[in-house]
Amino acid sequence: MGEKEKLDKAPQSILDIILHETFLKLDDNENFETELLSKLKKVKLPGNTSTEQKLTSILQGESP
Amino acid sequence: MRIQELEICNFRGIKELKLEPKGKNFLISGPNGSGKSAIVDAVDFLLTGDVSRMKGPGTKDIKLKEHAPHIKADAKDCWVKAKVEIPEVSEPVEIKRVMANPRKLVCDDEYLSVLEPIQELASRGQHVLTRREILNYVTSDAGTRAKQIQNLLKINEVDATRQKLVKVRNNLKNKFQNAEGNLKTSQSHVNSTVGIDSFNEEVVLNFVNENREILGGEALTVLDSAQLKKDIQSPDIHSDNSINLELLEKDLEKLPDADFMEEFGLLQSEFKDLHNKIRSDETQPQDRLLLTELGLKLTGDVCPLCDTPWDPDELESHLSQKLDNLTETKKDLERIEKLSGEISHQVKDKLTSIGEVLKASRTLGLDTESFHLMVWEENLLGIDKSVESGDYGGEGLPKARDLAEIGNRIFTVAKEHYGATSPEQTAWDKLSRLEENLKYYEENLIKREEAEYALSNAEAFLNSFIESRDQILDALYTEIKDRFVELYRQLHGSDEEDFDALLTSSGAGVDFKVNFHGQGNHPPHALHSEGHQDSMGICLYLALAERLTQGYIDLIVLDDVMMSVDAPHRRQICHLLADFFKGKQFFITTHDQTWARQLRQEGVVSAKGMVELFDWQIDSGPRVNSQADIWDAIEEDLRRNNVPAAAHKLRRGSEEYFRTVCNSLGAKVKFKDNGEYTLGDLLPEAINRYKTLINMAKDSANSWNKPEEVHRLVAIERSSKEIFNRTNAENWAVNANVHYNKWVDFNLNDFKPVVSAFSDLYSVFACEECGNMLHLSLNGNHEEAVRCKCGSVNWNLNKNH
Repeated sequence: MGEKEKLDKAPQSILDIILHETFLKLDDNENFETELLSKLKKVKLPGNTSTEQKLTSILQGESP
Repeated sequence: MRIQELEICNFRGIKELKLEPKGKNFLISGPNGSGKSAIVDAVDFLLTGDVSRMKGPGTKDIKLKEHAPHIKADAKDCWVKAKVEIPEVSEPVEIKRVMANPRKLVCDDEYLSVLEPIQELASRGQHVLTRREILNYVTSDAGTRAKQIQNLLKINEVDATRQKLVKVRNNLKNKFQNAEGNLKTSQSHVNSTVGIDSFNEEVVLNFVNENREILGGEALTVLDSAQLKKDIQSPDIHSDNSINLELLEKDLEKLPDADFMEEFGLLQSEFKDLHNKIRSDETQPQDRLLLTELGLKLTGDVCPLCDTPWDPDELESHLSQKLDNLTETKKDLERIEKLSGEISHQVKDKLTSIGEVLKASRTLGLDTESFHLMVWEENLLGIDKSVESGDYGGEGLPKARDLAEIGNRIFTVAKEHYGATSPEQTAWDKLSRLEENLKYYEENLIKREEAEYALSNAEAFLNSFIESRDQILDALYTEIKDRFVELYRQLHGSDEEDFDALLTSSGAGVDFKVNFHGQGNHPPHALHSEGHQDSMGICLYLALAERLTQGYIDLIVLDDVMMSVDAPHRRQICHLLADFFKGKQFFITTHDQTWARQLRQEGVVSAKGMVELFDWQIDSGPRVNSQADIWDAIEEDLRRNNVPAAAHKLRRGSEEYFRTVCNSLGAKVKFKDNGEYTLGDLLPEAINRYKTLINMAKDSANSWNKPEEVHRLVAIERSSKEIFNRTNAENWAVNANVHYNKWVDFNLNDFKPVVSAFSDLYSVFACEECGNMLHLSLNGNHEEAVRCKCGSVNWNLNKNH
């Protein structure tokens, strides 16, 4: 039986890396609320047809 | 991940096949249709549960479960399994995928999570390069290339995300614009009550305080609908049902009249003319304007619509010129937008006054007047609605009764019933109306603030995303470009020393240009030869794959990718694969035996790491010739007393082997136009060449006064002579009695020593340490040394003059 470590996650896709950088930028933006940021981080992008509505609700400050 | 063993059953053109790459580079050669690509497909299927070649354009009627299994094989009997090495796992892991359930990778549950990222990466197709893909990377237009590169990088989802964020931003922008429009309308209601032209809170507050003062109230400092009537009382307890003649008179003045009709008519008529002008133009200028503006955003080195190649600057200039030609349309559309706003404002204003007069008319029980007012209200609402929805086409107002006469009648009746109003009542009524207007204004103010907040969030999100995208992709492209240039220079450094390239994001595409001998950057297929383009494709792919697989998949499949690269550059490619990608396991397929020999000769693959597929039959699939197994297979034939089969293998294997020896040592074989060289043509020349080279090496050692080296070479020479004698090889070309054609008539005892002698003969031409074939090293045309891959053999051929 072999032992396994580390390789339990695929390397980040380019989109993941871009989104990570995007969220860092928004985090530095003092006009952007932290609460919105944490909600946006949970949205799977690019997602499906309901994703737009979900994003719109979050950006409006509503619960998605 | 590397493949130790690969077993294929009833898959594509293969009936049964077992390969043992043992985690090292592996070569599969054979003519077209021998089943090479089926092995590539099998690896694809094993890792992804799909066969990428069976998807995409032109594969509509091809179904995995129907067409992937071998002829007549059941899906449950069609499978691929492998033993794979995975980093961090100490023992090889066995994985299997069956066509009956292609989504499920069968393996020990313990390894499922470890295999997940490998499958995820494999699903991106980053481990297989085919000839078709090389063409797509290099010779295709920017759009197609971008798609290929984006698919490989999986950045098509980046643009899908951007598009989604743009849509969300635009949606919120529309909401903000609507909210702002509603706020302006609510302000115009306030303006109407206060009697001002433009909204000003201070003026409105003064108006409030003036009327409060009449009612004995204190002045307010803040404009707030809830405070308007604070600490003041209505002078008339029936005020709700009463009509204030002063206010009614003002409302009646604002009813649609001849002036309104004239002004509205002018706006409507201009709107209609412009609308018709644009709509009736068969060249569809509005759509062309939109398309041209969009085209300018997407300019690259092809037309974004038809993919025709363009110089990017020329394309941009061409589209700008087209845009200039549409200037009039643009102006017309801007004017239409402005007219819509004015019509909407006028209509809303009249709707407000009609609403107030209608209320009074109903209070007075004037049904006929109320009916005519309602007709007007309905007509205006119809226009308002179509302008709001963007469907307005310049329709006029239908003919309706003149409201001046109706207004007079309402005022006369009101005057009969209510008489003059006290200043207190007028003040109260004004405040009541303003209270209602302000509530509407305050509601819209909040809605506008909310819409502004949402829009600002959406813009921040989108801008941060685009900024991050440009930053990350630019860095990625630079990294890949640098590695691409490094690899390409490795291949073509001798003829393109200063080669450089440009790889940048360009709108939705990827701009890829290469420098041509200092003559500027051009598309790869503009000036470079087909062979150079192939090299570029390989280098670009290797740079991309290396960046993306990141140690998760060490396997790289090169499926028949060496079509146009010439022999010297192929050798460079061998060095590239062997030296620059030491950590990778290459699966290489080719129909080109010369390339196959080069890969072997240059040490990219070992003798054990290659198979030749041949004689494919529909029922049985390909037959396999493996150098690795030649001696085992001959042994097996001899065990079965099948001398003809063993003789066939020895003949075929030896012809292949000594062809490579002659090539490696530069032996002079008599040229044959048909290229069919027998062992009689090859073996004597290989041995003569070997003897010549060892004599040259002895002369060199003597000239450098190296007696030990001389003794060592003499010992090697003595040992090889003994082996040459045993095979009687030197006489083969002239002595028909020992020619290998006679082997098939040998009995078992006669043939066994031949096999033993040939096994020893092979070893003369290989290094004892690394097992790789000896080769002649040249410096230009000068024969410099005989060496092996590991450096253990190094016979200097240069004499000390």
